[in-house]
Amino acid sequence: MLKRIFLNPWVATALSVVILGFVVLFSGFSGVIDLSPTAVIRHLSGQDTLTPRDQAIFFDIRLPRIIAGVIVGATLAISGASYQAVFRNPLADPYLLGVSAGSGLGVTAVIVGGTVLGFSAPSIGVIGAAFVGGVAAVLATLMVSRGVGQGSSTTVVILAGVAVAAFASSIQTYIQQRHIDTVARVYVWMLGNLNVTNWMSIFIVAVVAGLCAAVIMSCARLLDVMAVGDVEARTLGVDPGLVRIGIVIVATLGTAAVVSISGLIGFVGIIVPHALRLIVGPGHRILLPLSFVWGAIFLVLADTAGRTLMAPQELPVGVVTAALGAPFFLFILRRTSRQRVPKRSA
Amino acid sequence: MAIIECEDITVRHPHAPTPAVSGLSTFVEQGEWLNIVGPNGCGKSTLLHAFAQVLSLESGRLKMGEGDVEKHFAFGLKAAKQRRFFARTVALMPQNPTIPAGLSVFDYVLLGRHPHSYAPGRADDEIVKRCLADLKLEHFSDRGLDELSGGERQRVSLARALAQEPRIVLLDEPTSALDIGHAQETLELIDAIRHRLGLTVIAAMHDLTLTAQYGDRVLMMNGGRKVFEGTAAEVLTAQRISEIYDATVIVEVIDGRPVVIPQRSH
Amino acid sequence: MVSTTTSRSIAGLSVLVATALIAGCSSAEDGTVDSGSSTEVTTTQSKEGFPVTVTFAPEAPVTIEDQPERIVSLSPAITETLFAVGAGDHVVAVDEYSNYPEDAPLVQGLSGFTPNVESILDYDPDLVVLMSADDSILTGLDAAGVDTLVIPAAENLDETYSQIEQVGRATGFEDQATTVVDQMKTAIDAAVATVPEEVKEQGLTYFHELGSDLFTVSEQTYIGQIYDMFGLTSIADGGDAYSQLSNEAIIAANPDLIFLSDAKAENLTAEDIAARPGWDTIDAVANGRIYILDDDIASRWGPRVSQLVEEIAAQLNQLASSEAVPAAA
Repeated sequence: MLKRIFLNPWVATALSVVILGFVVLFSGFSGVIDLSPTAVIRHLSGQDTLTPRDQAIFFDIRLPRIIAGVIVGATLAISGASYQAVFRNPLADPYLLGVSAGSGLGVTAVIVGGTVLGFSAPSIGVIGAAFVGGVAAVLATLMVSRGVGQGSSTTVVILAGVAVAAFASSIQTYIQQRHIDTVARVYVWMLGNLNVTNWMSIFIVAVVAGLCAAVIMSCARLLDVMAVGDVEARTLGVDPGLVRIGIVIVATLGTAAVVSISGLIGFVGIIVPHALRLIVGPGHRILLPLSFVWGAIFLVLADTAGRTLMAPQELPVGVVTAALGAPFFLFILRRTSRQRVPKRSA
Repeated sequence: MAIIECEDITVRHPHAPTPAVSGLSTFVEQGEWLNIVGPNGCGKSTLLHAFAQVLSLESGRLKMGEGDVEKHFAFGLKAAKQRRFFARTVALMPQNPTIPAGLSVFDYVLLGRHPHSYAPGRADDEIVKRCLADLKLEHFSDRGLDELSGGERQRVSLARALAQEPRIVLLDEPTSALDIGHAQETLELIDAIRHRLGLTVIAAMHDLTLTAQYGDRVLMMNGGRKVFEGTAAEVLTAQRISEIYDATVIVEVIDGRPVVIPQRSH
Repeated sequence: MVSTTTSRSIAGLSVLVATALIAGCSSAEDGTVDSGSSTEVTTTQSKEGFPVTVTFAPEAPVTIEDQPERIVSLSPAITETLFAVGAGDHVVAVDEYSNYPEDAPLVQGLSGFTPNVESILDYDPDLVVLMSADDSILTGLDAAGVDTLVIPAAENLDETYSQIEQVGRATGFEDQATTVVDQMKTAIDAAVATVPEEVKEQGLTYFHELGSDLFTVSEQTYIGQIYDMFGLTSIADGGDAYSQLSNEAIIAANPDLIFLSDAKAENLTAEDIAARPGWDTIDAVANGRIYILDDDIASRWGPRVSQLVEEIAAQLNQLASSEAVPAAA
């Protein structure tokens, strides 16, 4: 009975948001430099209790980073969940169709182009290039799969994605090899980091990612129907090819937007939806909003760990998520070999 | 008035060299039960998929329910509405239904309500419960699909089709995974529901004797073409069966229904 | 369904906007509070000549208000420079690769590549030196009121001199910086002069190994220009600044000299090089002209460049004084 209440999408989401709030606060008060929570709260209510340095730490360094973590984690998780639904593949992640290789190539081109032309590539250039590269790669994938003639077959689209990613990757490697002095900077970008301090970028990305997430969440029922396969989905009144392309485009836009500010942070799109599926079942009306919130929680916690556990060294957040991802895969493998009792979604 | 009319239809699978169904014409009255029989690969499933609009026609005219099925639905809100409307008219129970992991029986059958309600509500829940009850699956409601036997899954798949509240039900070998007891039970249920709701049933059937016991007419196919059509007694003769199936049989007629008995040729 | 998710999104966005506004307000207040406290701290130590403006191409000019008392350096080359000009006492932390001089306060884990802003601020610096412009780090340090200098690797000798002088200016040790530069110039001129003209005019070729994956340099690079002072030509000249060669290419090019800058990092000796398949046919190997340079000195364009030049000159002098002077390649 209690389970029935907790499995109500509204209740579960509200609870998760409360947890997210606590995580954000916890993260805000965690870090190499000790900030007294009471001092921060007093400062927020108008009193001048923080030194300029501590103010900068909380409001200009930690806060944008945490908010970036919330946006990126949420978007990656919900994109992953939607990809897994339309491709009926548990290993599908937001990067499946080439977003990562495309963004990497874009970033490399801009950074190398900068050095060739004699200036240091500005952040805005890198952000723009990452976004354009990611979207272009996915468009190329869709075009290639249509060109082969099976624009809606899941296998063909995935393979086209693999091919496009490999191609983009090879170009990137070639460019880097010719300009080996830029390797470090590109590599650091690719490891992923949430060290964003530009509020305007955060705001723009938040709007784009938020819109994409809203569209995906409104398609929850469609994603449920997709689970029975293309043929049967059609008999239930859904055009699976259209749904697939639509979701791919929307999820890609959201993913490319967050990748452009955070680099490539992996495993969030796979770990979070899967873990949630084990707990609340495959119904998307509850899975999608929960993935959104718990993706944020997961990434903020991972980033907090990355910047505090091994100080003064900063563990790239992508390393933390990967370190958590590998054992998680093993855990999933073990559980799928045993029977599970499904939950009935309310 | 015929609820299904197909005129000279040809259906080809994408990139296939030869059509799977060619030049087939038939009609089905509302409330009728038509069985489709024929050897493996004769095009039974393809025909059902064409009726279900999963495959598009290469040529010919097909009318299912209210209007002509013109072409495979395209983009746009109008097309989406057409798709949903069609799904409220025609339901398909496939030969090998896809079983999504982790889904409960109730939620699976609830998917059948999608053509009616984008966001299922209490009324939909009631309809699902009723469909489960009709197929004697009430106690399975909260079980996972992965926990069911093959026969139970087929009944669940049928429950989903019925939850669509269609006027026409297409059944692709509905009893192939069932033992004789469950096969009988399922076909009895379908017949009862058919009479109660005025459903039109088209079933691709494997077992010729069962075919003869249920349904009004039989359509026999071979090589994508219709070869015979009529009542079971007219179509299922020893001579025709041996000719089309390349099998040796004796046909006994009991209570006006043919019973097909395979004979070993020595 | 759609309306509920939209309203959820609006709520979420409002939270974001609200937080952004709070953050924006705080930062705005920052400015007024900041100037108050910083002048408070440094009035007692106001050094002459400050404030100064320094420029490190291609970055924009930076103004330093007062002599930095607590410097954090994330650039090994600049760490050396800071100590060379006498600002060593003001250096409170350096990155994990700044291993020279030995008494530099090296912090394991402090990285110039993935800096942890809070860790840097934990040292309470008033000046931070970086090797590359990382917007997020710069914004973070800027918000905390810390001066930053982005000093990329110098491209040639003149840039090194300029960087040393600017660093001296920025830290209030301008005179010492000038002395360092003069000393370097003298040492370099002297070193180059000790090498006989015949050696310089021989058109000797060299292979400068950056790593055992056979990456090398051309005349466009910093070290390429140094070799050029001695009339040496890289076998990769005419190509990219950094290129990866193959074994066959190197053997075919048959360099007269081989310089290793990866001996320490990859634990290589001259024997290891000679043992590479086919390399015994190379003139440099056959004549024993494999020279090992110090890894760090050969890759940091700071005050020890003069030492590098002296090392190279010494090797070439040995070459000249040995019996077999190789014919032009």
